[in-house]
Amino acid sequence: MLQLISQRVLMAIPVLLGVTILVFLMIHFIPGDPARIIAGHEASEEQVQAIRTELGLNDPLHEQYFRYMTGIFKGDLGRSLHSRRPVIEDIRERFPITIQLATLAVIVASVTGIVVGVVSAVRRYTWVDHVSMLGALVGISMPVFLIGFLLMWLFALELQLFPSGGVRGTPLEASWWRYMVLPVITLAWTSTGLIARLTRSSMLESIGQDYVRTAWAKGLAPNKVNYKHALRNSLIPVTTFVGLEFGFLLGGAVVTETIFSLPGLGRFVVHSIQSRDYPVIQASILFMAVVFVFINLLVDILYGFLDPRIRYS
Amino acid sequence: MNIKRVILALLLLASMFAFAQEPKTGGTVIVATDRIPTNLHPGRSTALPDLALNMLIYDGLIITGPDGSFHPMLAHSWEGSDDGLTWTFHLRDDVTFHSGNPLTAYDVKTHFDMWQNDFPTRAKLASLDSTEIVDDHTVRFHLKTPNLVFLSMISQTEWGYGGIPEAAAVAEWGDDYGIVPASISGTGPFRMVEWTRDQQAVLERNPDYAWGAPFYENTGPVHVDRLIYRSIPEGAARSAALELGEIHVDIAVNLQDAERIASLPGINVLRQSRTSINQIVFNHDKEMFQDERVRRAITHAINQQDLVDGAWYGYAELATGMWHNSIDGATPDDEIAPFMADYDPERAAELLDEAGWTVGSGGIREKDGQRMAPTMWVYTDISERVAVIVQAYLRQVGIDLSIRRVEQAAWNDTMAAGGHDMAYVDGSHTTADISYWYTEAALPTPNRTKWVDPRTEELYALSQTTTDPAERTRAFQEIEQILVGESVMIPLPHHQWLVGSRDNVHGLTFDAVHGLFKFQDIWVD
Repeated sequence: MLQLISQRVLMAIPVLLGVTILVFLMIHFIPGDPARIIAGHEASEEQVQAIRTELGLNDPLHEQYFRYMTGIFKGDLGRSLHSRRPVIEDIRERFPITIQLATLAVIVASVTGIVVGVVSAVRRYTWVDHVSMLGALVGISMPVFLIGFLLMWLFALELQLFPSGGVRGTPLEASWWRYMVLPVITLAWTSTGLIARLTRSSMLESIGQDYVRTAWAKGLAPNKVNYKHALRNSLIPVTTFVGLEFGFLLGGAVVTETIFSLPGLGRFVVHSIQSRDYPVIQASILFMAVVFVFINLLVDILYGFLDPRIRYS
Repeated sequence: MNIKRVILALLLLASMFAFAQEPKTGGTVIVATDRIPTNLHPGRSTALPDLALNMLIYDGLIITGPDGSFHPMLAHSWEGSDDGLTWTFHLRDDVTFHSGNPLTAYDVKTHFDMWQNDFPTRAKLASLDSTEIVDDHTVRFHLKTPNLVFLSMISQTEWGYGGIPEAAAVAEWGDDYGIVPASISGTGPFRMVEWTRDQQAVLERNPDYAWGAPFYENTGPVHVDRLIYRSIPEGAARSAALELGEIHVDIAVNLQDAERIASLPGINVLRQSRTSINQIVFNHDKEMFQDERVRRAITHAINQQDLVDGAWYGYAELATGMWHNSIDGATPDDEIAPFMADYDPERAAELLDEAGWTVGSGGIREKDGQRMAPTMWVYTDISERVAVIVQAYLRQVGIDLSIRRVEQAAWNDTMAAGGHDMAYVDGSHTTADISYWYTEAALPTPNRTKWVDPRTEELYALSQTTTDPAERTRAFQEIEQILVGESVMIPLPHHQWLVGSRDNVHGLTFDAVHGLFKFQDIWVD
């Protein structure tokens, strides 16, 4: 197990290095000049060039990359070109909201999705199955912004059960949870449908396997056959998917963050890309990549628990 | 002084008294907009929310009032030398920063030195040579050339770069000044309490305030205890928050929602003229647009009332000239009218025929084998809506306009590289000094028209160096007549300030240039 973990950690190094190079190249090759945005609408070419020089943007690309990497190894992610604020502080302030939102959404989506999927599989081809799968299809097909606005209209404007947006306080306060209900449902919506469908098909596959037939033949109770033997094996693809989905939700939280005015990292990164705030884009995406790699590592470890073959090989 | 401006100011004043009620002290007012500030060191940033908040936290030496003239703020008086090369400002001796320390000439010099040397907005101080401390409460500015622009640049206008921060705080916090909430120390009516990025800034009343802008009723401490400046990026979400009473004021009402929320009980939507600039520019480096008849024809082909109704949902005013007519330098409406091109598709077709662009296959005009198919570059929702309407009108006279929507950063690059045929340009202006956009010195940007004309150069130079206000006004008027008369660009409708507020909010006054400005009269019950 330890070997597995150390192997995966080592593999993360080239991945993250690749991320820094790719992001660096991408932001420098897309059109758009941060100096022009900083200088404002009325600035002359001379001022724009002066700002470019000050920011070191006229230096050769490899020098800029080298400077950036040296900074990272010194633990300095640089300052935003626009606000002049250290990027690390911006990330520290905004990441909690995004990770809280994504974690809650993953929990809601996994629990709901797996329960619905299992129930559908066990009661396959009954009306329960048909209704659940129709619901899952609707979930997958609806765009996030539509769900967000519909929920806001119904629960905030009409029923006035939850606030329309923003977030105040900390997760230790009850009021914080009221702010998070609508965004979490919005973000979890699509994933729930996907997880339900995947769980159902994975369950159906397990149920058709020989060892399940053997379990039935042994005369085990239906619950034991379905939930101990079949479900456990079905969960391996679902776990992989949930791991990937978590990463996706971290990045995909941006629409939800925007609709519900949450000060998260996703919104911040999108804004930084629009203003070509290079240090912020680089640092935030690198940070997201680290989190993503870490989540994948956790998923790998989870496999070990679900499937002894992985643990012992 | 422009008559319209005076009338506007009087109307504003009258509206304040018409509903005069005794203001209540206390309470919190929550103001929402689509964005939140990034850096609150005046002069550091050109982002709109930064400018808006700086207006509340800092004061300038002088301030431009709704009447367009300069009023005392931190300086009680000022005078220029006869040669126009030095300006001396006498500071009030009773002004304190939010930290409690007194304002001195040293704070002023420190700010101007930094602004002039280190800030991306330093172009505004191009004519400043040096700043001198005469004594604790007297500052003298030495200019490189005599001009009338300097006062506009240092006055607290819509940019607010001339807001003075406390020199000691700036020295103590260095690069973190204006970023860390505790660093921020100004002399303004509000002081910073708490600032959560992308969420909200909480300001509270400065209880020592006694140097308010004189054109407000209240020049002492503000009525409200707290003012929360909140960011709600989605227009529909902002409207919902206003409807629910989660916010009191929405200073950027979603155009699509304006009519609906205005009809709700307890909500008012105020509209007010705004000195905005919206225009379609022609790239004069492109051969097609070097022919004045082509530019004129395109201008004639567009029904601007449709832009007001379709692109701005009615919340805009038809342009009377190139400048907003309340700006000093605008040619009076009746005098500029003959230079403007009204909606006249027949005349447009005639002009295009004359210019050799004849209708070819598919109804699209051609000349020397080239199809008349220019591309217009846009980067906002509104500009795209404008472009789509313009596209339809141009098709009627045989022009196949393509629309290219990109992000602002990419749009900027295209403007600099001159890759566009036409582009939608927007902005706002306090003075007609924005004529700079049409001069050779402004190439490649902000001169996105690439228009270079000796007479325009001459007039602009005159406007920047004359010390005779009337001559300056005339120079701007003539520039306007040239640009409109030769269809260098198409002046489009001016959009308006559109502000939603709950009806327990009072004293919310507006300025055509600055918008909300200093909130000195606002109160809630």
